Amino acid sequence: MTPPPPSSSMMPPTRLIDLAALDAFDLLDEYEAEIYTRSFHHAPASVQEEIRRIQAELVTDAALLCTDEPPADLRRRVLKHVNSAIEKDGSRYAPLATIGAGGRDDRNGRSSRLPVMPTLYVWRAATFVLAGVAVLLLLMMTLTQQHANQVTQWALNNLTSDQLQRYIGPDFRTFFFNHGTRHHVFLNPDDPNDTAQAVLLINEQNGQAFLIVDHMPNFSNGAEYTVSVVLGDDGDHRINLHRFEFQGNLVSLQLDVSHVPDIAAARWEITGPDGYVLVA
Amino acid sequence: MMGQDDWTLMQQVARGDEAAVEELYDRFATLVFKVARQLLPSKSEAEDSVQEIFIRLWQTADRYDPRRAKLVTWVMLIARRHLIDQLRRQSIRPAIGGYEDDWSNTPATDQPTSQPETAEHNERLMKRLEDLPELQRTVIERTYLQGYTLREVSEQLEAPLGTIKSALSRGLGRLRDNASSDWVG
Repeated sequence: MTPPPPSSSMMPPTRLIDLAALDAFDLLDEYEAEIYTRSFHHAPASVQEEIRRIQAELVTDAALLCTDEPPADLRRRVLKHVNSAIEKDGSRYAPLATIGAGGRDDRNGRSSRLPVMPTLYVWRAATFVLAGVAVLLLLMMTLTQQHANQVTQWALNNLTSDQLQRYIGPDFRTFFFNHGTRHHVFLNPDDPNDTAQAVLLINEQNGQAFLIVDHMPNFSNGAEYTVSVVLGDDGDHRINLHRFEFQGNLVSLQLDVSHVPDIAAARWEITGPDGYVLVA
Repeated sequence: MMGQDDWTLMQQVARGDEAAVEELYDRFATLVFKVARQLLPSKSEAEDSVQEIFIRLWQTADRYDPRRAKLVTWVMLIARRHLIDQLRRQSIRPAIGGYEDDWSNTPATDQPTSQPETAEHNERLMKRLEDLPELQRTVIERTYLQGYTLREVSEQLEAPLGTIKSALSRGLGRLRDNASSDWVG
């Protein structure tokens, strides 16, 4: 479990409750909202429940809302609009809809409601058809939806390693085709609402690792993120391996981990410029 | 698990399940419409926005975490974000006290059938705002009713951000307390 941020940066329960209204109405600035969310998840369960209750009451308080009622025909229009968008999204990925259970829904004459949303499940199923590229599966599990769409489409059209190299970076091919034991480590945020993701591919034989990072929260331009490895039962031995900037695009790095003892047991972290652990 | 039903519902919405989308609409459309109507200048714009908001709810459904908030809070947050973005794109802000103004200028077909009752309720709300200390009233009007950020209001009023935040929190609390006392008995 990721240890909480420094106590001086955490909000106490009283402050969390004071700011509950601002949080509910999305009036906290980005940085404060992140601190609020982290503090919320480390608050006692009773405080979390109190905040959830306060916020639900606030957003539904009739005194704070106008009294207009939606017209009766709005339901039909909205559902038609949403279903149309869902169907359009599904047809864009139509080739993938043949993977797994198929069939038509006779009731409405439309395609069955497969997971036409590009969910992780669909991408994983697609990658199994690619022999010898197990790492592609790992990449897809960390890519954004948009990226996963592109890579999976390429995969189904017999993506070459050259294409992967172009997309991920020139070092990827060199790393992937080097001999050596490779294991992967997924790094995830503590908060499931966070979209930050990272995966490490570690070649223990040559002491190199390949890191792919996506969806880190955007801090100011030029802000640096730090990749670290934490050793020891108490986590008291930290080795900072690399600093990088994240500009909103996929980031891939090759790291020298030859000097890291017992790499297989090491714990990895990426921290933001404020020192908070973003993924671990 | 807390919120299991709501989490399951949103997972189904994320998968595009028709019945789930219908349930989501039936539970929250009225609230979403009310906040849209509150922030947007016309009923037709509010209706259009409701459509877009429910698209957005489908697109973000898999991100809903019942540990973080009840589903109604999440839905209203998504709705407000969309509406504020819309206001910013259009560079418009709703007029304060716009309910009565809009109704006096809208065609008869757009007016609610229970207009006298609704107008009375809004008079009470606007009166309640007038009863607040000036700073609290101004901050609520500009953030909650007009969609400005706290930072923008801080700059507009040349007041510290912390002061603005406190004014908003206290003002909302007083509005709710006053509303409760109005409706007792």
